Amino acid sequence: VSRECEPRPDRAVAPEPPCIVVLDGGCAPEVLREVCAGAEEEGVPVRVDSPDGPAPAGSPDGSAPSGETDAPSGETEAPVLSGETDAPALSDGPAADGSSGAARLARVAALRSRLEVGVGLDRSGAVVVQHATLPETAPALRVPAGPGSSGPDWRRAGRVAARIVTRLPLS
Amino acid sequence: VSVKLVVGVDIGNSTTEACAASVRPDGSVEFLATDLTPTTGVKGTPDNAVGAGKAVRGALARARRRVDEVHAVLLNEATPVISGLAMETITETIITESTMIGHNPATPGGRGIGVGTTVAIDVLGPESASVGPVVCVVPPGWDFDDVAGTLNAAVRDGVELVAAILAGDDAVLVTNRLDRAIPVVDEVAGVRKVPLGMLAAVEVAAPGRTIRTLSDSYGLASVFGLDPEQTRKVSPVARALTGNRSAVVVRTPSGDVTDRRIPVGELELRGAGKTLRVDLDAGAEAIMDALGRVQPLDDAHGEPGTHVGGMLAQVRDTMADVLTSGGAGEEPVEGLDEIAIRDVLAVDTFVPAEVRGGLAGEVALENAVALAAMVRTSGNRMRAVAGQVAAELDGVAVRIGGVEGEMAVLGALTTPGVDRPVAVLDLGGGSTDAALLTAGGECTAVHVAGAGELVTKLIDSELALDNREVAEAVKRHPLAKVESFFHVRHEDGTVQFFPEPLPPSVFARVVTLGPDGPAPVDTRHGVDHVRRVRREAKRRVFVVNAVRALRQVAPGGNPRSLAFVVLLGGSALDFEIPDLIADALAGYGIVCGTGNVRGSEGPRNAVASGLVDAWAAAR
Repeated sequence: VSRECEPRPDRAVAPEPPCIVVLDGGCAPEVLREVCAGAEEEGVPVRVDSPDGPAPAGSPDGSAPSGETDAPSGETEAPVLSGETDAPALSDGPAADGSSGAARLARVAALRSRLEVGVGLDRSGAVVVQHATLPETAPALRVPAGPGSSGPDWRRAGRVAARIVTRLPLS
Repeated sequence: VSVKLVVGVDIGNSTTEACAASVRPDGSVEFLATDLTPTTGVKGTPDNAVGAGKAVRGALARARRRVDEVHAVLLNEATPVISGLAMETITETIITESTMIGHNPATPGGRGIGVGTTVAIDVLGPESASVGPVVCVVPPGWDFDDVAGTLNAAVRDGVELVAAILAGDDAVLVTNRLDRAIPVVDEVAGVRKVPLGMLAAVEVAAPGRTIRTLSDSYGLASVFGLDPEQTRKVSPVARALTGNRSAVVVRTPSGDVTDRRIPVGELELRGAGKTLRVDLDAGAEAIMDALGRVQPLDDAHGEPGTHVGGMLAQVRDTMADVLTSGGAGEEPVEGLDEIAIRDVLAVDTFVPAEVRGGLAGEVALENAVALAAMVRTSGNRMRAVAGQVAAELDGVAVRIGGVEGEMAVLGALTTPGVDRPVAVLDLGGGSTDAALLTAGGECTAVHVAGAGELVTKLIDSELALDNREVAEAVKRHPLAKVESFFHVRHEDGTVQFFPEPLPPSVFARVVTLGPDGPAPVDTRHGVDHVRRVRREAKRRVFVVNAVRALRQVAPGGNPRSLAFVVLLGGSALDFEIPDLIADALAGYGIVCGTGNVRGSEGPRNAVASGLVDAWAAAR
């Protein structure tokens, strides 16, 4: 995990554009779509990354969620994982140490983002928004998985991520 | 024992203070300890005994003395002062027939102006091409992809789409997906009430700018082809939209925006053998001017059915209740027939109020008059209070000491650097009190309406906080802006770093910095605006009242004749009120500062100390 914040080989030449990094550990496509929409409405670019590095890794159907392909400002540089991966430690639900998968993904995403803001989505549907300076245990926002969360909550997660960047009140 | 232990007790409107001291036979005083506790009950009523007992025991505990050692407890002659507050909104903006949407959604889409006929998105189709330019109206529940798809299809079918009005917060998402850019206004909650088939104009300004066309009377005339008479009618619309980043105006046959004054009735002021009536909607200046001509005020009445009329009646009723309820049959209450409003303070203010008939929760700044009133009676129940205090303290002797104002001056005189003639200003919660001690030893005292509570109310309404506790925090503590999870910028521009992350709930917010850390102020305004509102509220109440009260006690009504002014009371501990008053009084050549009773107590404990000094001097 510590290697994640080092410059990535495919972008070593040109500096990557600043954007919020979203790490999708295999959540439902509508969750990812709403998260990206929330950030886009606030005017902040989003990049959806694979949790396991820049290369596409073992996505069974190989397709990105439909919402993402439509988004003109969604600067997708790496295909999005929508299924199984070989690195369950990052993309699964609650990890062995008790922290949620989304929280760990969000932390990694924030460290990857030049804006220091990341969003993690895990297979259970949990969404966590994180800033690189905040501890993993106290993220900027946590949307729990389950029937209690819906479109407006995921949209809000994207909005909160964008507002950390633009320095606007989060709610 | 020749050395006597006495405790002075000052029952104030909000706090009760005690001061324990030992007095030697030669009259010299050694102060031992002080204490302070919230006043129980209305000042000057037997309910005060519980608080007074607590303060006495607290001071004795600090002095390591027992209640049975006390020679006497000294009470001030506390007369009940009850104050009330009310506000009357005197203007009102009404939109009829849903003709105007002027609000600032955080993120409108596109930019420019589009003028066309309103068409609901459900019926948008190839046949809409015959309508001419179209402004599409989208009800709640539509997904941004579907909206964009429908609009793009309509354009491909030949519809001349010029603008859109959305219910949800989707404007940027929709505009990003359109083949042709148009201005889009979103977050219009009442979008279903937008009349369809009417000519409408939608304008969105570039980020950081405000609309230019719909906020201009001739711009509206050009857009809608109005004649001079019609232009005159729509000029309130233009005015109401000024300063917005986005707006919608729909032209309906009889739609209108009116900006009217609400008749709120009269205030009747009686005094100096005259009775004057003044319309409340004439504003604070006219009211205070009328008040100046009937000084000293004997009584005031408001028109029944108005807020002010109700407030004045209520203050009077509360005072009557306080003087008659509880401890019945102990003694007749004097002065019951004299319950009268003895002072009022009117302040012009504004209230952000939701526009009637608005579709997007539009808010207009309405003018209002805030009024503080005060009743004071000569009647009091101090003997009953004294009896209760004695019972509370195992039968210790309780004496009723001197008049409050005189005692306050005696206490203030112990502030280093102060000499006669001295005036004190006691800045309290409900009233501002002034007392003057001349070089010859004469003392005069006045109470004027309006103090800390009114400041809180002004801050609450002018910032549309609708939360008294937040308003109180804004009044008491300096402001800051949270700029990251780890630092804030204080209102004076200095920066403070925190080693622990600040909670996300305060991120990027204006906060008050109280003892419990940053607390958010729910406002879209910046630090500068909130600070200006706070300081203006304090100035309009405390500075105005300081000058008003000093004029009433100063010989010849001229504050220049005062040499020293000492500020006392809870609000004298405020971080800026003493400076605001000192600035205002500097022009009169007065030495003004915050009291430091006995060189150690700050602006607290003046009356309690004064009671002890007066008792010692009388021996």
